[in-house]
Amino acid sequence: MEQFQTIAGLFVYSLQYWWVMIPAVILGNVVGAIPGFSAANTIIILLPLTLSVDVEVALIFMMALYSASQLGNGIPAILVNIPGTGGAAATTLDGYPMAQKGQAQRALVYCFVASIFGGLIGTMFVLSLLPILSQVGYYLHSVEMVVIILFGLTLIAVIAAKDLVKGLLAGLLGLLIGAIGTDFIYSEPRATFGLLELYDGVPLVPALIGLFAVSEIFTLIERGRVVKDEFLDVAVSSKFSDVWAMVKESMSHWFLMTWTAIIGVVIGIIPGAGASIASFVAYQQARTFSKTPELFGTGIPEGVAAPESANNGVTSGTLVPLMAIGVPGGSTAAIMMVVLQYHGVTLGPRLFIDQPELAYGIFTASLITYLMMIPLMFPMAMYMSRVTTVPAFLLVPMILAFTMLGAFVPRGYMFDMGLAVGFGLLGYIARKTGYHVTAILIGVILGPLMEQYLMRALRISRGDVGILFSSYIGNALWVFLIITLLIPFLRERMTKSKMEAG
Amino acid sequence: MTKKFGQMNRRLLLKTGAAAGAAGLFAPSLLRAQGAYPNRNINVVIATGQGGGAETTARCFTNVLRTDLGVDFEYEFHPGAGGQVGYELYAFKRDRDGYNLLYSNMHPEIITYATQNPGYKLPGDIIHFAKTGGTPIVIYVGANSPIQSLEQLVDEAKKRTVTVATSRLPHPGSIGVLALGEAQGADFNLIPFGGGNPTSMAAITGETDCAVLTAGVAISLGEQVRVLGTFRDVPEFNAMMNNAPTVNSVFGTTIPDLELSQGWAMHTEVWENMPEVRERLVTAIKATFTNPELKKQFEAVNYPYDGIEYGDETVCGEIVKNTTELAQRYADRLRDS
Repeated sequence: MEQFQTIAGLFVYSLQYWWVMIPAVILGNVVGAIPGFSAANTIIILLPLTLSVDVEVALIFMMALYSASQLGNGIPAILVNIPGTGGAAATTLDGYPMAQKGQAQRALVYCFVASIFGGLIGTMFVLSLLPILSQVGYYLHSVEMVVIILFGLTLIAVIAAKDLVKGLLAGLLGLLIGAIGTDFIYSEPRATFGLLELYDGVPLVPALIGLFAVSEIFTLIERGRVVKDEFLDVAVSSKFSDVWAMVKESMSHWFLMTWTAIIGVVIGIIPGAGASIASFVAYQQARTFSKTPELFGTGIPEGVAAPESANNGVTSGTLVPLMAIGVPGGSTAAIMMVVLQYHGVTLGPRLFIDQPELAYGIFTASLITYLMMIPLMFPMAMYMSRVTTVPAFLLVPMILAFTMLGAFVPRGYMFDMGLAVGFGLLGYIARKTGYHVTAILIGVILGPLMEQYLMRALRISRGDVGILFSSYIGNALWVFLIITLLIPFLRERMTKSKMEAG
Repeated sequence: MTKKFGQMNRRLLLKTGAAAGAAGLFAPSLLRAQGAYPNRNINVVIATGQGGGAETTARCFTNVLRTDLGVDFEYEFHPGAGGQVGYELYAFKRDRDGYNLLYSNMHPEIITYATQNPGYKLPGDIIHFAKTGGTPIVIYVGANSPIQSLEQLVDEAKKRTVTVATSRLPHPGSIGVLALGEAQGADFNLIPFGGGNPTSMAAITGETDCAVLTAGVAISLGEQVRVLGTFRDVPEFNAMMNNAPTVNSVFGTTIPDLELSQGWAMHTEVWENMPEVRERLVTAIKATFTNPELKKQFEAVNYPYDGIEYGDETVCGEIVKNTTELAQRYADRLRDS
């Protein structure tokens, strides 16, 4: 009860910082929507600001920016098939087909609702169960992470279901590309061709930009605009007044958004894991337990809601180890840690006793930020959705300029712009020949993470694969993985038997 | 004659006026270009990721240096391949003009250099010229670990394989654990976790039996970890780690003192050919050690200040030489581990 009173008090206290939150939310949305920019590099750019203001202001600013950027990532994923980060890549699977069908406004509303709802649920989940959640890291080690990542990797098989050979080949190509770079154990370069820029692996942002944005530019030039001609009327007829009906409709998926947000929180707690894993795992799980799994990938709102809710759940999860143990769960949390340290804040369990206003305040600030996004974001949905009707000759130069800049920004290498163009050609060829670019991307994103956790687990056991089945939680996850893989086959069989019986 | 003289004077006057005008126009840039180093921000390359120990300590120093030098510092991070990426990028892709510095985790990065045969040469391309401090390497366990002492850890490792989280294999901590295992006939299995945070997390959560990293990291984790022993005797650090004993004093071994030094490095070409840059930087960096503001900076981020000590280019040269020799001695064992 005392804790609840503290949190309620902090909620009211944090509200007085609305003047920090509103610009941070707007900025977060903008940087989240531009591929290559992120909350992490924006906080770095703004370090002089965050280091010079009061710690409460700095913390609220960073938290609002971080939360808003997660929402912003989904916007270009839906409108122009360009995910702002790896965490929004799964959103393109259904978000972009919806935009092509003239339903960009509906997809955006689902994205905003899922992001806000997922963010709120994730934050409240963390706030109410923080002592328990801070223990998650004690039970999810390399072995368990191998199985969790496998959930995401099985999406390749799902995508491959339409054309098994091409789907698996695309996934395999992605895994091979993901293996480029120095090996995790001995730091030996592999397939880098002596290029220093590839020593740290294929950078995700140029790969993402190339596979999605640049290849999309080529197809946009051919097609004329995002929305298909037959749906142009639908796209331009969307009205501002539709938003409320769409919000109500999307809220009917509250259960899906709740448990995918919790997936995001739990995965976010693991250092090194993050939104990329969470969104793919959430998408895969949503599809598995959907009544209409065959519609996933064709442009259904559940395919937008699940990954968006999950990647916003990650936002709160990634802060749990930072606040509870003093070890950041991701890159943005690491930079926030630097800022907090410079303000003299000692992170760790004592923070909840010594400075509860900061320890809990970061989460109440997140809650308010998400609430503030409601009036700020929903009115924008209709105007944003009109992007899909803009002719390609206007849209393409803008996308090209922003994405090339985005490819350059994270590392500052000209090489990365060339790499984005290379991946663009690969993506274009893949689209033209019926290979799924998302299958390639899943391999690129999850392949190195899988290798890292698998190699670590095997090294702990000195090569004994039995370690993969050595923990109760790991084994439970294996069973769950097998069940989720079997469900589609069992369902298909049951439908067939019913049809035969009928 | 007078006329001539007068004409000459006019010409002279015109010439002088033109020259003075030009000088007036270009003087600031000429001055900036020639003497007043530094006149723009200095770029700092770090060969590890953001949020790590190198960034934290580098910022402590540059927060003091900026007032002395009158310019700001900008950071770029190029982790990967045990420091190779950052070093190669710094050596060959950053201008050799004195406005690019490298802040280095000296020991692990020198071990990478000695075991990986990269494209740059130390000190041929990059010279470490100012050591800023050294932190002893320590072995620690999570607060919930049943292992209470160094002896108990080694006893365990004689009965079964003990897993040790390390930041990466080319690291002084990895060499220390290998040396201890060899000396005591104990079986330690090194598991690289790719950075200080996941390494600590492995020990805290019990994924590995213990971890080997710097005292600075262990101390900053407070009650989350228990330090069992140290590879270098530094009383100030020992006091902050419940007087953890040195490995050599417990087992009577002769393992070399192991620490992780940090320091400033620059292009050797600048060091040799731009004495004004060298002198200005060395003087300013030296001065930070006597500036009380530096201690405040370290206290603000809860980092131990006791290991802070200045070492000139000779000290740095010895570190490079000795660490290279040590790494080459253990190169095969690191590979086979």
